[in-house]
Amino acid sequence: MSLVPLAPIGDARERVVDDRTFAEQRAALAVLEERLHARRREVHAGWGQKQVDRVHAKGKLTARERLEALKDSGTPHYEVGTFVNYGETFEGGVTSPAAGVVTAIARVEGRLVMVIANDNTVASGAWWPRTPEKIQRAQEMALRLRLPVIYLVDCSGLFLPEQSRAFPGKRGAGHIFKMNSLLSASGVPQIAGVCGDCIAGGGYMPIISDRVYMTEQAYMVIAGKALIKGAKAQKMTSLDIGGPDVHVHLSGCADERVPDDEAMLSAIRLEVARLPSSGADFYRGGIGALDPLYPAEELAGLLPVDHREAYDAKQVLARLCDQSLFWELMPELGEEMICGVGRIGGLYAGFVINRQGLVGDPERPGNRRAGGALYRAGIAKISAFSRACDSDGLPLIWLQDISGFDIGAEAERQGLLAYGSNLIYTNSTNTTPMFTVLLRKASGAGYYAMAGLPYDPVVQLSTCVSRQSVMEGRTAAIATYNAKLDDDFRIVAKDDAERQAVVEGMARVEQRLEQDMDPFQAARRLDTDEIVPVAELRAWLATLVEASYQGTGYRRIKNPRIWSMHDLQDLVGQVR
Amino acid sequence: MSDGSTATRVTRPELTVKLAIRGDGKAVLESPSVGLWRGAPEEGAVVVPGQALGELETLGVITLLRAPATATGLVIEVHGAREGRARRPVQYGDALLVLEWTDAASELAATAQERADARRESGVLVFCTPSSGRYYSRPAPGKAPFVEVGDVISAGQAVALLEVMKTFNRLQYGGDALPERARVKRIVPADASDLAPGDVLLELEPE
Repeated sequence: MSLVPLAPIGDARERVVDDRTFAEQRAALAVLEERLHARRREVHAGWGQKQVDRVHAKGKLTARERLEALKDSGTPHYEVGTFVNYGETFEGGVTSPAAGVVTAIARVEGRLVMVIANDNTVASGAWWPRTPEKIQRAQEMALRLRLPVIYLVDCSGLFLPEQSRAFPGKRGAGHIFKMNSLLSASGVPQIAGVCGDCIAGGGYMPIISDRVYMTEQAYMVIAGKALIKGAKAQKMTSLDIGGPDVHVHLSGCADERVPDDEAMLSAIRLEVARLPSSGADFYRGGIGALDPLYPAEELAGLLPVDHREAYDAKQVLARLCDQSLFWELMPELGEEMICGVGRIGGLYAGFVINRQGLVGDPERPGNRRAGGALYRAGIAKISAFSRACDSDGLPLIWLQDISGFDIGAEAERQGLLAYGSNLIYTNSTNTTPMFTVLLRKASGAGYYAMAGLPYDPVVQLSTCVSRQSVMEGRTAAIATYNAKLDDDFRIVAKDDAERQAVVEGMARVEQRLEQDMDPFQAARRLDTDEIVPVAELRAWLATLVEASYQGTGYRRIKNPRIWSMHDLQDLVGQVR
Repeated sequence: MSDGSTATRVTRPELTVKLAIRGDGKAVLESPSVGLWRGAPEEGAVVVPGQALGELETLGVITLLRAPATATGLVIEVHGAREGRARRPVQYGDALLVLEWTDAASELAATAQERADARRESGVLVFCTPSSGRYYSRPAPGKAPFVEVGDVISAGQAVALLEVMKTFNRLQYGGDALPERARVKRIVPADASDLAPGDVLLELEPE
C-alpha cells in the first residue's frame, strides 16, 4: 500500500467552540431536528392504524414491516425520498405519505441493496403524482452503484383521479419499466416479491426482474376484475385472473409461489445470499472502519443554524473521517476550498468542503475576504481534484455551504465564468460516484458547480438548515423590483400608494423565497433526496461509500500506489 | 501581519520554535516537532521575535515556524547547512539555529518590542479585532452578551460577534501576548459599531 499521508485534522470540541456556544447551537438545531423526527414518524404512519389493521387482517405485513423483516436484523437502513409529496393534498383532499412507496438502502445477507416497497397502508400502494419519479430515482441510484434491487410489490395501480400527472410524461409511470430494462441490461440483479395487488403498470414491474416470487395472496394482471367485468361482462376473482396458479404454473411470468409474506422475504434473502459478496472488505485492505477521534455527534453543536454565521469547516471533516485523519491536497492554494482524501468506514473517499469565515486574498496580501464562495484558485483547485478523484475511482463527497461565485469586475476579468464552466464540465463527465451534502447554503451557480442535484450526484442529502436558492430573499426582492428602484435600491415612486405597493411586493417576494428554501419543500419536490440529522451524516456517507465499493468490475478503482492524486501533490510545488 | 513570506493564507498552521540557552550563553532555537524543515534562514541572517523561520513538513502537512517572543540575534549556525538539502529532516528538540546577540540585532529587537508594545495601550492588556467589520456584543438580538465587565474569560471563549461581508464570525479570546485567563476591565467599542483591523475590543487585567 502506497503512502497516503493522512494527517490528524481538527481539534477537541472545547478548543473549537466554548460550552455556551456549543449548547446554544445544539439547542437551536435540536428544535429543527425534532421537527424532522416528528415528520418522519408522521410519514411512517402512512394513512394510520386503521389501514395497518386492515393489512394485518388480510394476513399481510405492511411495507415497513416487510422492510424490517427483509433486512439483516439490527442493521440500520437509509430511506430516501421520505418527504416526497409531504404536505400536499390530491383529488378528494387526500395525502400520500412518502408518495405511497418506501425506497431505502438496506443490508441483506451483508450486501447493500435498494428496496422499493409499495406502501400498502396508503391507498393500497397506489402510484401518485411523483411516485414514478421517486421509484425511478431509487432505480437510478441502484443503477449507478450496481446495487441489487428488491421490489416488494403491493400496488393497486395509478391513483386514477390524478392519472394525468403520473402517466404521460418523460418520467411517467412507464419509465419505471425502462429503468427495469436498463438495470437488467447493466447486469444489476433484480428480485421481485409480489405480495398483493399488482395491477396494470404494477404488473410490468416484476416481470423484468430476474427472480419473481408470488405469495398465495398475490396476483398480477394487465387489467383487474372490475375492468374485465366492464369490458367483457365476465365475473372473475383477481386470483382467478392472475394469481400464482396462472403465473407460476401456466404463463411462467413468475418463478416461485410461497405461502405468505414471511416465507417470501426469507426466500428473497436466500436469493441475495447467492449473489457475489461485497468488494468493500477487499478495498478496505484489512483496515476496518474506525470512529473519528472527535465524535460525529458533535457536528450538531458545531454547525450554526444561522446561515450567516461562520464555523471551522475542518472540524466538520474531522468528524466525518475515520480517526479524524485527512490528507489535504493543495492547502496553500485557494484556501476558501478544502479538498482532500480520507477514509470513511475504512474506505477511501475524496472530500470537498467550503471554508467559512474570512480567508486570504491572493491578489491583495494582508487583506481578507469572505469564505463560502468560489474564487479563481479555489475553482481551479477543486476542478483538478474532482478530475483526480474520477481518474482514481475515489467516491467524491461534496459538502456544500456556498453563497455562490465571486462577482464583480475582478471576477469577470479573471474569467470566473470559464473556470466555473470547466468545473461544471468536469463534474458533468465524471463517472466516479459523487455524493452531495447541502450542509447549509446551496446558492446560485455554486450549487451547480459543487455537484448539486442537477449534476447527477448519486445521492444528495440535505440537513434541517439547508437552503437551496438562486439568491437570498432580500436580494431576489431587489432584483424583482429593480425597475422601480434607483441605483441605491431606494424606491423611486413618490406617490404613497405606489410606494406601499412596492414595499409590500418586495416583502412578499422575500417571504415567499424564504418559505421555498425550507428543505422540506425541496424534499417534497424531489429537489433533494433526503433530509438527515447532522449527527447521522457520517453513517449515511459511510454507507454510500461502502455501496460504491460493493460491486467489482464495473468501474475504475485504482490502488493508492498509482493515484493521480500524488501527481497533483507534487505539481503544486511540494519538494519531492 | 508581515512574516517575510508571500503566502496569503490566513488559516496556515503555525508553530513557535523553542528557545534554550546553551552553556556558552548562546541562544538555541529548537524544533517544536518532527518533520522536514525547508526554507531555513541562512547564516548571518538576523532573527527577531515572531519572524518566519521556514516551514516544517510533517506527514505532508506544512507548518510555518515562528521565532519565539524572546528570540533575537544573528544566525551563526544552521542545522543541516552543510548538506544543503532543500528539506532537512529534524527531530523534536533538534537545534535548528544558533543565535548570537549583536548590537544590530538588539536594535531590531527593540523595534519589534516597540511594535508589540503598541498593541498594549499604556500597559493594559488588550484583545483586538483581527479584521475590520461591525462589532456585536451578543450572539443575537435578545440573547445575553458574550462577556460583561468583571467576567473572567479563558482562551477559546467567544467574546464578540464580528460581521464581515454579511457573515458573522465569533471572535475567540486568545493570542500569544495574552494570558490563558483574564478579567474584563472594559468593553471598548459600542455595540453595532464599525471597527478597523487592530482596534481594541476588550481591556483586560490578569486573573
